Parts: sequence; C-alpha cells; structure tokens
Amino acid sequence: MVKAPLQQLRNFIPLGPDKTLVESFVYRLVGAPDQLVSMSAMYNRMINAPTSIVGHDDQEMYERAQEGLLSDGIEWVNIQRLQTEAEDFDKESIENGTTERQMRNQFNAWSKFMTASMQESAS
Amino acid sequence: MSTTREEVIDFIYSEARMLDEGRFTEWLALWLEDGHYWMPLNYDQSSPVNETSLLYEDNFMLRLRVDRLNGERTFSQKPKSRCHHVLQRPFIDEFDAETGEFKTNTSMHYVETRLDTQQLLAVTATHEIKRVDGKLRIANKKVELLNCDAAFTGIQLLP
Repeated sequence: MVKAPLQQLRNFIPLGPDKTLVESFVYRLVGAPDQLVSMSAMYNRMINAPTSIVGHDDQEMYERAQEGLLSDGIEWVNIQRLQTEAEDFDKESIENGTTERQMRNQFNAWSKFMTASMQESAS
Repeated sequence: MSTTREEVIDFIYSEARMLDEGRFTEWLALWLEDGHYWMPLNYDQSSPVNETSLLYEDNFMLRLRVDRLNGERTFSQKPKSRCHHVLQRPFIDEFDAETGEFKTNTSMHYVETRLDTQQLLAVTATHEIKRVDGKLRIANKKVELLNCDAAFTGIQLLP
C-alpha cells in the first residue's frame, strides 16, 4: 500500500492464516526539504509502529475478529449491522458510521459483476 | 540542597517501579514539560526526527498515551497488560550537583505480558535528570532495545 503524500510504502506479507508481517518504509525525496521526511517518519511511528497507540486497538480488533471466525457458533459472518430495510446499492447513501452497508455493498457488487454477462436460465 | 549519587539511583529504580505497578499518572508527573521519550528503531540512530523511531513523544503525546491507558474504552487494554523491569545498577555518567543535572545509563530486562503472550526485551535506558524546585525530574529518556530492528507484536506499555 502506498501513501503518496507521505512517501510511504507498506508491505503486508502473510506468514500464515493468523500471522502477517507488516513492513513500513518511508522515502526521502532527493532535493526535498527535511520537513517532508520528518512528517513521514512521524506518521510511521505514530500509526504503524508496534508501539503505536492507534495500532494497539486496531490489532486487538483484528485478533478478536479472528477468534470469532474460529468459533463453530455460526456458519456465516453476520454483516447485518444497521440494516433496517432493503437497500439499493445503486444509490449513494449517507448513514451511521458503524453501519456495515459498505460490506453488504461489496458483496452485492461481487455478485452483480460475476453474473453481469450470464443468461437467465431457460427453466 | 545537594544531591547524592544514591538519590539519583533510587530515582531510576522508583520510576521503573511506578511503571511496573501501573502508576502511570504518577509516572507522568516525573517529567519536565519539554522532555521527550525516545525509542529509536535503528541501532546507533542519530536523529529522532528524520528517521522512523518506535517512539519519540513529547509531553502532549505521553499524556495522551497515559490517558488512554487509564481510559475506560481502551479495548486493547481489556484485560490490561502488565510489565516488569529488572534493573542493573545504573551507571552515573554525568553528575553535576552544582547545576543539578545528571545522566545515567541503565541496563534492564523488560518483560511485558498480556493474556497468553509474554515478551522479553533487553533494554538500555539513558536518563537525563534535573533537580527542579528540590525534586528530581526526568528531562529526557532514551530507550534503546537490543533487538530494535526486529519485527514486533504490540509493545503497549513503556520500558
């Protein structure tokens, strides 16, 4: 993943089903002022470092989600959060920040494009 | 009021004990306003600003970190992490009783644990200490990890 304004590159290397190595690089542009690289370095340590207070809560959520997926409680991943009625994904919508509409939209898009050129079955 | 070497050494030990006992607010009060806590990412790193560090935090960021550790909605601290410092007797590298400025170098083994995961870090801490209004305070602290360039899982508390 590249964040161009920060001259930053992050490489997510999967090591196993429950382990990922994240490498994070910042680049010093030739001839650019030091403030640019210091801004990138600040972002890198505040957001991506193992000591980052932002990263700690993120990682906690990833790990709790993984634990949930390991359970035999339910076969499906529930993405119904804040779905109150039928949704039209062809229309833009502004909703509560914790809605999972964007996940539903992603799956809707997948099935829409996978079936776009399919013919209706004759039966 | 003149400072003794023993006082400086006791100060380093009591700081570590505060962190071990989770007395972060008390720990924060040891700091002078313009101090920085620096944990470099590279061995022998020269700049905290123009290279990535693990930590380079001023008083505002340290306060934010401590508020977060004390907070009720800090999900990665449910349950809480615990830490444990084993200190070698600090070297006093600079001792100026006249100006009340001191510098120490302390080797530590730092253990941090949460749930089933425990990690051990070998640490060298450099403290700049100043006597202000009769009390010893932390002017700056640099924490060098022996394996600073390794891939880590979260380090949530403070060596």
